[in-house]
Formats: sequence, structure tokens, C-alpha cells
Amino acid sequence: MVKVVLENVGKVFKSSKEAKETIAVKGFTAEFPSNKVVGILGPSGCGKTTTLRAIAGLDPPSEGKIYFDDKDVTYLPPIERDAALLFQFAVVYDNMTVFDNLAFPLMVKGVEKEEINKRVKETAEFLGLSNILKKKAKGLPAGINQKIALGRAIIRKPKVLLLDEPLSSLDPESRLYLRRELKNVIRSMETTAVYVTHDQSEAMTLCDKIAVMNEGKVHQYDTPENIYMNPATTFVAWFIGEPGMNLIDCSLEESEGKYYIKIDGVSDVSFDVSKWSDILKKSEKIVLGIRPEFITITKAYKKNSMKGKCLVVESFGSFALLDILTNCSPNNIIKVKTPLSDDLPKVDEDIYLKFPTEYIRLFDKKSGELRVVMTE
Amino acid sequence: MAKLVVENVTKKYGPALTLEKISFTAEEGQITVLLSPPNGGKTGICKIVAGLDEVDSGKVYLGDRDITNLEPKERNVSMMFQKLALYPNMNVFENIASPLKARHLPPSEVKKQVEAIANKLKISHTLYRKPGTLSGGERQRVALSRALVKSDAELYILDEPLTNLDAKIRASMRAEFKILQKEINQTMLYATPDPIEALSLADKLIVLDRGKIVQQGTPEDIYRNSVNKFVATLVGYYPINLIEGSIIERGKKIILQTDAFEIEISKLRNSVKDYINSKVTLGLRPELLNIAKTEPKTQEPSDLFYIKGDVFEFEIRGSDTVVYVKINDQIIRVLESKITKYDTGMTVWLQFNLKDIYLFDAASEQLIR
Repeated sequence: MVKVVLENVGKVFKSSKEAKETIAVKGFTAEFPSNKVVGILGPSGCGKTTTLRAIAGLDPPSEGKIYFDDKDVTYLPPIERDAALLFQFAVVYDNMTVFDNLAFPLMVKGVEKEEINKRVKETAEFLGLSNILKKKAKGLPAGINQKIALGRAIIRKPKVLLLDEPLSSLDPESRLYLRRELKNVIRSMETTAVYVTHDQSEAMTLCDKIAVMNEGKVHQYDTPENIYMNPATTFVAWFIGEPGMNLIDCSLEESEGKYYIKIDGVSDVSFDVSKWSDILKKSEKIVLGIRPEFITITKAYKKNSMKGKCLVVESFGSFALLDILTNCSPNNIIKVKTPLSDDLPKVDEDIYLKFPTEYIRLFDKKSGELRVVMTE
Repeated sequence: MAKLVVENVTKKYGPALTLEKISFTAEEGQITVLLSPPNGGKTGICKIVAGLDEVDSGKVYLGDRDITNLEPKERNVSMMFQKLALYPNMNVFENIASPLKARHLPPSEVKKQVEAIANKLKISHTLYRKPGTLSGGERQRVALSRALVKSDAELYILDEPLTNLDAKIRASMRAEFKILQKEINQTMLYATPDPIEALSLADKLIVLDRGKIVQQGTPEDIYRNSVNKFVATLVGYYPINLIEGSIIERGKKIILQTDAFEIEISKLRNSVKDYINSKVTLGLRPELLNIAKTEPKTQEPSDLFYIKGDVFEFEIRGSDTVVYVKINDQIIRVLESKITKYDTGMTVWLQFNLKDIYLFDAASEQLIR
């Protein structure tokens, strides 16, 4: 059991040819608690794999420190860290039996034969590999191979388990089963797991906490619930969810001592934000964020609702996605996700959108940072 | 703009694929979508209509012209392939303008048309850049602009135009394309392996299985009344649950019995009587199933079923949750269109409506109508 601490970790890649520097990771500070799964999530090129490699010791950071508990491991070679790595494509020795594949890390360490037999048996049982121990690894399905690789990673009971998209090359069925086993392994093994992925559903499903990265920076390090409900930046708001949050330009206006948020280009919709006026006054421009699934639609005008024209209706069996043309900026289309009903608007029909206050999030436009979580 | 009629077209493409007696109509101003898994024959049909492949037999009509044996350039169709094939040495403007060359338009007219379509597809800012400097999504828009700029084409053929984009961009392009199609109001033949794209875009949907049309109609109709297991599996938002079982008679009731559970289906339709003591496959669409976390109050005999199970696993996908419910070793996928957290192992009740179930004859895999 060990907690992993990253302190201002940064990585710069230098290309000697063009004297060019690429900043891959910048100022990553976080504490990964023991016995939990922490995800690092972001689009390709965001720096997540670079971070994982630094934790593994494969490629030390150019700045900052990495600790396992209180021990500074920043420049320790991988073998001295007690961390195991699992990659997207399983590394399995084809010509060895499943037994020997699992036993390999222990053999290298010079563990006694009896102990090896015992541990291989345990691990195989745990992962459901007992009945194929004598088989050659060659020709086994990808899901089984990834299980063998997982078994080899956990057999020496590492303190830290590092996973680089280990499920993404598997078919959906094996992915489901292996993910379940992975969860069980991590929970019962007392290891700290770091899970790198570009797939938000993997991260949201498997992880206790997620660090969302973009362009080398951590935008939010939080629980999946908070990342979905209260994204720390407009990037996270857009990236998480399918489709992501609607982001609408707004202005702060004062009237008779009260402060209101008004949607740019829309005259009759405003929200009282007097409670947060001190924070909001600091922003030159404000962005209102609301998820498509929290917008309510009506055919008749209701107070403080916004008129729009339905451009697209996409039905998805039990719900529909609507594209509503409005006067909002910068994008005049608002996405709405609504349960399927006979009352669904038709293309070209005028409808009214209402944003329930408790689901409105306000961001500073320039920095993209979350400023206000509106409450009733 | 013209109507496309494909009549009894047959074409052998080698041992793996033969197009067999393909007949359909793509109505004027509508988008007709060809849907199949890879190698189902959709690209072949596109090529035959475009004139890039010859038919073995059959006819192709565009408007009132028989175009079966015409050269591609005589057909007056525009085509976009999955592989974008932009000219790397030309800038975006020249790429989009290239199909207009043959028409010898005055430069001012070319400029007008290129700018109009680039504006519609939101790539005006890239017109004087080379394709190599654009993002994947932008390149796709350039290719789409080039395909659509030829405004005198009577038919637009688009073979997997969105397939190469990443999921987030593809979803937003899909909605944009729907708006665009309405604006330009042209006859389109659109091939895709993606059922969500097909269901969303099609006025008319044509489902192909290994070179044969298995069903054609509106997307709603095909989704609701898939004619066989293949169509039901392919045409959906999330993979359908298929559960083996058999139909038995108990007293006056007709029961569907599976290893996981049994339900009374006497009221489903009369034809189920013909299948008493036969093996069938039950199809349950994940998006039409619900989950109750508490035991439902005493049920009146109704068309709503509640079946007790436990949560095997769940996953959050975008803004939805997929819940895997285990009922006596049978795992059933349920799609909830919101984010919900479950504990694995917790007891839940699977809930569904008699009218939403599919029954297939296990042997022929055809729908029991």
C-alpha cells in the first residue's frame, strides 16, 4: 500500500535538429491515494502516457518530483520502484506456457520454486486461468492474453499498478469481463492503480478519481460525479458527456442593485446571480454551461424561456437529440437531449428552452475556469 | 436533382461478394442510406451507380435516362469516397473548385460557388491553406465540399463520408450534415456501416447482408419491425440482447421459457400459437428496457414485466449508463439515457413491455410476425 505523489511534474521533449521544445506535461501536482484507481483521461497527445511513463520510471520528468509515500523515486530506475505496467497490447511470451508466463517475473527475482508454484496457482485461480496453465500462450485469444499479462503484472504484488489503455484493443465482451476482474484485483490486492485512457466511459466507470488532461495540463482532478456535474473548465465541460455541455456567451448586468446573467443575443432570458456578483464582476466575459440532458423544452412560451427553432431531430430509441437554432453565440445551435415522446418537436417547429437554475454552471470566458455552480 | 432507380442489378465481385438482384429507388430530394457491415455490398452499389463498375445484368436509371452503360462523366453524378484523396499540392479553394473545371465557368462564378459551399461547411477560413495543414475534421469538410459543389449534379453519392472521423467530431458532423442536406435539397445515396448514422440521416434505409437487400423502409419501421435477427442486431443504437428459449403451452397460457426467466406471451399475437414447442430467440433492445431499484408494488396482470436480477456491472458512456443485469447466469444489457451509479451485486428489477419484444424463429432466424 503506497500513495503516489506528483509534485509539479513537467516534461519537455527537445528536438536537437530544430532546436525545438515541446512541452508534453506541465505542472502536474496530485496525490493518488492507496487502494484506489486513479484515471488519467484526455485526447491523444494530452500528455497522459508521458505522465504514466514518468511514474513508472521509464522516462524521468524534466522537472518536479515523484514520491511513493515519502520516498523520492523521481530518478529511480523502474526495477527499484515496485511498480508494474500493463500495456494496450498484451506482452505475452508466445513459446512459453501460461504457467511459465506467469512465473517469469518471480523466476527473474530468484524466488524459490515452491513459492512460485503457490503464487502461480493463486493468481491463475483468481483470474480464471487454472485450466489452461499447461497450454502454450501462442494462439490464445486477445482477452486471455491480456489476462495473462495482468496476471504477470500482479503476481509479484507490486505496490503500484500502472495501466496504459489495457482494455482498448479487446472486443466488447472480453472488455466487460476483464474490466470487472481488474476492479476485483485492484480492490483485493491493496495496490494503487493508475489507469490511462482516452475513453471517458472506461475512466468514468472504473476510476475513483480522474485527472482530466488537455495539452499537457491537468484541467481537473476529481471524482467522476464532480467531473460530470461540475466541470472545472470549459474543456472538461465539452469533453465529458456525449454530446458535451452547451457553452453560451453571457454578460453580467446590473439592475436596481441586483445582478443578472443575460444570454448574449437573447433579450428576455436572465438569471439572478446577485449572490455571486463579486466573483462574476472579475470576469470580462462569462460563459454559461448547461448539459443537453438538463434542458427542458415546451411548445408554449414559459417565463424566462428561450425561443428556438428545431433544426434536427435524431431519435435514439428511448431518447432524442435535438439541434435547436437560437440567437446564442458563439455557436447558435443548442443541443438538447430529451426522452422520446409523442410530444417531440418536429423539424422547423418553434419551441422554448428552459434552463433549470440548479444545472447552470458559469465559467470565465478567458481562462475557461468554472466560477459559479448555481443553486436554487 | 433526379430520382434514381436501380433495377435487378447483379454483379459478381469474386468469391466473397456477389450483388444479387438489387432493386431500389432513391426518391428525388431524399437521402437514401445503404447500411451493411463491411463487405456487405454498399460500396459496390455506389460504384455501379457512379459508373466506376459495370453491371453483369440489370438497369440503372437516373430521372428518365437509362445510365446503365454510360461513362461516369456522362452520368452527371458527384461522388465522395471514404478515402478522401484531396490534391496535396492544391490549396483548399483549388481542391473544392476542381470538379467545376469541366464546366468552363467564369472565375467569378467559380469563386462564388466555392465560397458558398465552404461557408456552409464552415471552412471559409481554410480556403487558401494546403490540405496537409488541416485537422482531420477540416479535411473531411473539404472533401464533402468538393463533392457537393457540383451544383448541376443530379445525384450525390457519398461512400462513408464520416467514417474516418473521431467519435466526438463524427457526432457533431452528423447533425450538421442533416441540416446541410435539408438546405441543399438534393437526391443522395449515402453508404455507411454505422447504424446510428443510418438511423439518424436516412429518409429511406436499405439494409444489405452479403450482397442482398434484406429490408428497406423508413428507419423507424426497420428499427421497430426488423424482419430477422441480422437486421435487428445491425439496426439499433446499442447491441440487442438475444436470449434463446422456447414457447410452451401451460393451461390456456402461452409461455416463453428461457433459462433466465419466463413470461406470458398469450397476448402478443396469434401467430405465436404456431410456434408452441419450438425453439425461438427473444430479442430485447437495451434502450427499451428499464431498471427499478425497488421491488414494484403487487402487479396487476399486465403487459409490463418485472424480472428480478442483480447488477453484474455497469458502465458510463457519454451521458448514458449501460447496466449489465444478471438473471440466472444470463446477462442482459440495459441502456439508461442518464448517468446512474449502481453497486455491483445489488438487486434490481428488469422492466419491459410486451409490445417491445422481438421473437425470432430459432431455426430460420426470421421474425415471428
